[in-house]
Amino acid sequence: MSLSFALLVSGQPCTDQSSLTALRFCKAALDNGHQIYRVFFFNDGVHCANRYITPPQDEIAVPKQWASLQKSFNLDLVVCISSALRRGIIDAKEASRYELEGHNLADGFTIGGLGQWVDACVNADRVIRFGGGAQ
Amino acid sequence: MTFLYLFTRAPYGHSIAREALDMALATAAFDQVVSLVFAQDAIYQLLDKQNSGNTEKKAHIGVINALPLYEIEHVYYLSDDCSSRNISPTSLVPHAKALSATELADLMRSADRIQSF
Repeated sequence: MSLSFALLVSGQPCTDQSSLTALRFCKAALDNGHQIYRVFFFNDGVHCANRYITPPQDEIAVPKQWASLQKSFNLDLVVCISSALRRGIIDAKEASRYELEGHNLADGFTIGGLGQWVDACVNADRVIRFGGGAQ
Repeated sequence: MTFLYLFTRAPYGHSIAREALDMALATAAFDQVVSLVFAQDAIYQLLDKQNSGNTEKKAHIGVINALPLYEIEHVYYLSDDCSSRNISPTSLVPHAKALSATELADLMRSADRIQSF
């Protein structure tokens, strides 16, 4: 049976394993014939969309990994706008609106509202969250 | 569809308490049936008198008081958390109702979507 999944990523990519786990889950689900309805980046998870993340060469750059998966499978990667603006994750449109000097949203991601997460919860067969948040 | 949000965090100290509450409001705004359970330290989110001044954060209570305006009528805390934290139910906002562990289990069984923050 094929299922569609809505994933919520709420963990910071450099501090927390959760976004890499979410990436691996996506790949495994897609490889096994399931669908990813949407991946929604929320709270500290929005840092996954920062294209300026530059780890040492022998470490994984999480935003590039998501961008590559997005390209291969046409994934819907949505960054929560209120979480993103607070944390300085900005696309060209928001940069213009707030008169900022630049923007850093990585390829493959779009900025959207919480309504898109509610829509994903309603329409996907399963909802899974990656990232517990610091306790 | 029925959504259950199970919160476990104190109102101040980490952004997830506020941002997850915003998610619950958005869920209600998109015409879903929403229940909120403020478990463990999240019971502090329901304290009627909150002064967030020293945290330099907006007071959480503004959103908590607005829940009925968003037609979120199912707002719960657990009786056990009250007693273990020595919190009197009279110091909580009046629209929050007590739940036993058994009632929480029933609520979880009846929900279509459960998210915990």
